[in-house]
Amino acid sequence: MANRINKSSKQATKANDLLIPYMDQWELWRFSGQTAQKIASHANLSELSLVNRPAFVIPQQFLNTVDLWILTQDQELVGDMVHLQLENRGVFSNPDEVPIYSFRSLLQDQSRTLTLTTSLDSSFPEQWALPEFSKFDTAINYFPFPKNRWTIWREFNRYIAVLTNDNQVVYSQALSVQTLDADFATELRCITFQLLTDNIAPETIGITFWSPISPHEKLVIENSLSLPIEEAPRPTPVPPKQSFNLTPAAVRIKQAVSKRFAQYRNLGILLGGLYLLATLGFGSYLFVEKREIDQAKASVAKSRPIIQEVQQSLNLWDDLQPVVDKNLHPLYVLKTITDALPKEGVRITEFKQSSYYETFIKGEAKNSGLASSYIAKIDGDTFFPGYNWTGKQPSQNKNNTWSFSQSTTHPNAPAKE
Amino acid sequence: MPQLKNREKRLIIMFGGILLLLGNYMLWEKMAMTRSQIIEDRKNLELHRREAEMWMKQRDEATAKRDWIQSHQPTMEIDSGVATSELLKLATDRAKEHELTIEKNSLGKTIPNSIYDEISIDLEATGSMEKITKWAHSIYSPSEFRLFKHFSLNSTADPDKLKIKVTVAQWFKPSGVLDNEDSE
Repeated sequence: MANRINKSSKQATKANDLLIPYMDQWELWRFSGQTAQKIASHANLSELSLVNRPAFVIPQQFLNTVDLWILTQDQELVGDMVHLQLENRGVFSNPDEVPIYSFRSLLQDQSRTLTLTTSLDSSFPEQWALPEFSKFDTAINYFPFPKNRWTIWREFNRYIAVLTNDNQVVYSQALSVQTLDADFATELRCITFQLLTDNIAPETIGITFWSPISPHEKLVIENSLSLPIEEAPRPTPVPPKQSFNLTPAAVRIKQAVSKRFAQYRNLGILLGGLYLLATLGFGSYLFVEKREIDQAKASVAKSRPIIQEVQQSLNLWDDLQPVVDKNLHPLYVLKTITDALPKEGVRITEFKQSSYYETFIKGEAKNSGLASSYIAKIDGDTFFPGYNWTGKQPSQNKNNTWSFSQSTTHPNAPAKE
Repeated sequence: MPQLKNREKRLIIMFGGILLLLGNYMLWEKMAMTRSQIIEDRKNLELHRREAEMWMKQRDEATAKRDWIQSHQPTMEIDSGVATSELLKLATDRAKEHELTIEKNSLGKTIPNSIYDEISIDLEATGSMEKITKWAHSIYSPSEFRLFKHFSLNSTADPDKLKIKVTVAQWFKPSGVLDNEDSE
């Protein structure tokens, strides 16, 4: 799984803490801007606080760093060709494992590109593959190395050798020998020869030791390599301008799971929030509505006495209807009834209004037609809206006249008890 | 405190989840009921509001009617028996004035209720239609709450005369005290 520098460098700015191996210890550094401060160190990684998600510098012994000449200048193709070359070199020993490597282009000549490629060794201990680390990187990205020199220091039981060409790191490796003696010098000489052959190494002018070296060891190596040796304290780490992404597959899986879990959690929080918001919104709506209803009820209750007074006044008026309604005046009723009589042929023989509301008439007519038409006339008279006249059908008398009677009740008459 | 096993944690989460679901179900059920109640209350309030508006529109008319009643309805300031006698006297005097022949007259009962105290007299007389009409007009007086409770006209053997039988009533403001003697 290759990562180009431009991708991984974006992640570099995120890490503020740095966990880096040096000598026999793990050092925890904290960056503040361009400066760094060591805040803790311990031989045991588990003793250090990793709450700030530090960047993890992988011990060099678990990295394979190689210089590869790629026969192209097309940066788009470089990645694929690096992958193929690593495959050819058998770096990806297990086909089931996802290859973890990063590379950077060092220089280009007429038709080639030189890349410094670092891959994670399959022997990388699982107990260090922790998702608490923000990224996995290599030490060469964190130190300003002296120009055109070998820089040597010890990480646990291994010596690390880094070579610069000008101020660019062109080689980095954990050496196989674990003592500073003639064998160390021989291994370094072999590497130098190889790099010189590949036209990668500069004319080296010396070796700088960032870890202690005894005078005897210094003398042996100087004599073997004919190079001046100097000792210097390892400089303070600096935030990387470029960084590698060498995150182990197990961590990537854990991170993916964590990311998915975080997505589900965020989705859950979002849905929960929306649900809570909806509940609160609905509750508030009900609260406001209820308050409005209560206010409206209070308003209705306030107007109730006035309405009752109006109703009482109108009811009293209705109860006094015989006084105030001229339709109940017997003379008006009688006048209406007599006005409806035809010029001749019908006469009223009895008129009676009782209990204010009930009217009864009795009359005679020359024939039943006149009687019926008279009854129909008073029944349709506008003076009697809503009245219901009832009575016997006209009946013939012995003297050949026709008798009729009708009665009605005022439509607003109170119900009889 | 001992560490909980995974199974115990799952059980606690399940129990908590069930409690949460039940709580939310109850909460939403309560809110739904409140909403239904609000909708019902709104409907009722709208009806009440319209009804109130209708009554309030009649407020001026009702006030005018009440004021008219209060200013016109007579108050019985004397004994109801005396008032009845005075009513009878008025009716008979007017009958004589209009040349009606009084055949029968009597005092009626006092009938109290919550709206008015009614006194009445009964009168039977004969006369021409014109005279009866004039007499009736002189007696009937809504502004004094005097009216005919019963009113009947019958033809007689004499075609120029009619027989009138009336009960003249007058409604006084309710005294609130029953006159036992009269109301019996």
